[in-house]
Amino acid sequence: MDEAQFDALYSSSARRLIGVIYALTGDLGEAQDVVNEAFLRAWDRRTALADVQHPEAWVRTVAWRLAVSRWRRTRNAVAAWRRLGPPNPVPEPGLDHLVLAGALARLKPTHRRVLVLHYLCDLSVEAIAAQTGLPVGTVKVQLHRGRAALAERLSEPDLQGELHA
Amino acid sequence: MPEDDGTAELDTPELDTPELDTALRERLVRFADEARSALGPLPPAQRVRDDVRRRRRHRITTSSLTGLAAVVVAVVAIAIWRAPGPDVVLGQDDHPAVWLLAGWGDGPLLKIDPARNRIVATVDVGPSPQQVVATPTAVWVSSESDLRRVDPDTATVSAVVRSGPVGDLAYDGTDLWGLGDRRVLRLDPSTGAVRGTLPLTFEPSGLVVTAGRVWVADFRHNSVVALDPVSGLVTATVAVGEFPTAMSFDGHDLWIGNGLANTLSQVDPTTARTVRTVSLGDRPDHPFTGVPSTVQVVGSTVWAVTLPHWLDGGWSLVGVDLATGKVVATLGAPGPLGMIATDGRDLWLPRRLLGYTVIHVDGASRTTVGDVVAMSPLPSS
Repeated sequence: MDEAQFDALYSSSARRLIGVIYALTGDLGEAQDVVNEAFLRAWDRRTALADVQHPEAWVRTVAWRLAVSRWRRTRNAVAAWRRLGPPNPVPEPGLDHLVLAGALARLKPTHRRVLVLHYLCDLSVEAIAAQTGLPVGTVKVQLHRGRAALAERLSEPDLQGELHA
Repeated sequence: MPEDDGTAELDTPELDTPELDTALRERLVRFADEARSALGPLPPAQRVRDDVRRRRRHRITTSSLTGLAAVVVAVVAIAIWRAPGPDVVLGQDDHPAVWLLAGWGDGPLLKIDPARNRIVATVDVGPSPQQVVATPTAVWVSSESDLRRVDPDTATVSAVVRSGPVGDLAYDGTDLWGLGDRRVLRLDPSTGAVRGTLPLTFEPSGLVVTAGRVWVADFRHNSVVALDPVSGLVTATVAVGEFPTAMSFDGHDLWIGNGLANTLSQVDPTTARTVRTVSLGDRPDHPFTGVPSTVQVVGSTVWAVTLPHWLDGGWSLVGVDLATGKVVATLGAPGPLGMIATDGRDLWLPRRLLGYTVIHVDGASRTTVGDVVAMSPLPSS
């Protein structure tokens, strides 16, 4: 992979990948951080990456593994947030966004992952199975259960009430 | 009855309707789009490539210098330098405002009027702010690059008094204390002038000051160390839980948040013994943040921010009764919670999702109060 190919991959997929990892982790700063690190590793291994059929999937998988592995032994949450740039002035998240964030956070990680891969990455059951190493049948079950659990969570009247628990 | 292998649910097609499928897809796509639109400009690809080159050079340089540094460190004597400082004049009442960093390392300083429950000013305190502490005449903000004095009345930065990284801050009524690079700084609380330096032989991860002792957390050795505030000599070392990072003092005991154990250690500073260890929940299943990440005593409760399960649940603010050591409140939030600020009665802490909001917690009832304070768009100072 040469510079032009890497730049094209980065410019076309970085934001999309951050959105995907955000849906998986619920933390936009962390998502930006791990996706950036995944691209660093991609460039560091660009020779090997030249043989990869789907480089974006490779970066996504690396970002996901970074998000759940123990490589980032940060001292505390201060350090986790420290890496972020200054906040971008944005409208306050709407209630729907908060509700969905809360619902996603409470899904089983396996369910959340297959839902995000299916809905946000447009991957088929077979493709999810190939990326996650899970049997196709297991992916189907997790997709079904995750969808049901998410729908159930979203039908609850007011997840904001949890702030006042 | 045969064990459910999960496939039975596939025979309930009412949950797999195209309508539900489409609705969930649309909501998730919109959710991710909102997140993407909240991003600032991403660094160019060129910078990513440059970072890889810098990282490689750093690896080479680091390995070369490590041996040399070890020799140098072995022969350098650590001196204690103390400069005489002026007497402290405490001529003003505490400012009633609550000062809060809007994020961890990325937000402005907020001045909150607790009576109105409103942000009345925001202060740009530069990159990577770490902690804020108010003294009678000044508000101090530490960062990775400097220590800044903020005028509490005008809510403006009045001075950058020190360059170099400064971590945790503490004010004992006489001195302002700060964590520097392997040392504790003793500063004039009004001007920031250095009154003394206490060298450390370890990398500090937390700071609190009690009568006659400066307590510093040592996260590498799972302990807190007491220093004589004048000589800098170590007078006690107390073993606590794994990865101590956050500390607070209730006037009698120390409370230490153990970042990889999700526990609080209650330490009697007089006897230098751990009185009690309080579990705040499961051990964290991740190393991303200390759990608890911030600890603050407010009234009869010590509060801690925790995130035991990175993916399974949201962040929580957990309250522990000082007298009983029992968990008496758990307030959940879907987004990351920041550092706790208090006026001695209530708590405010930032919550981040796409933008920032501030959660206001009544210290007496241990419940959230009304609506969160809208922070976006931020009012200008």
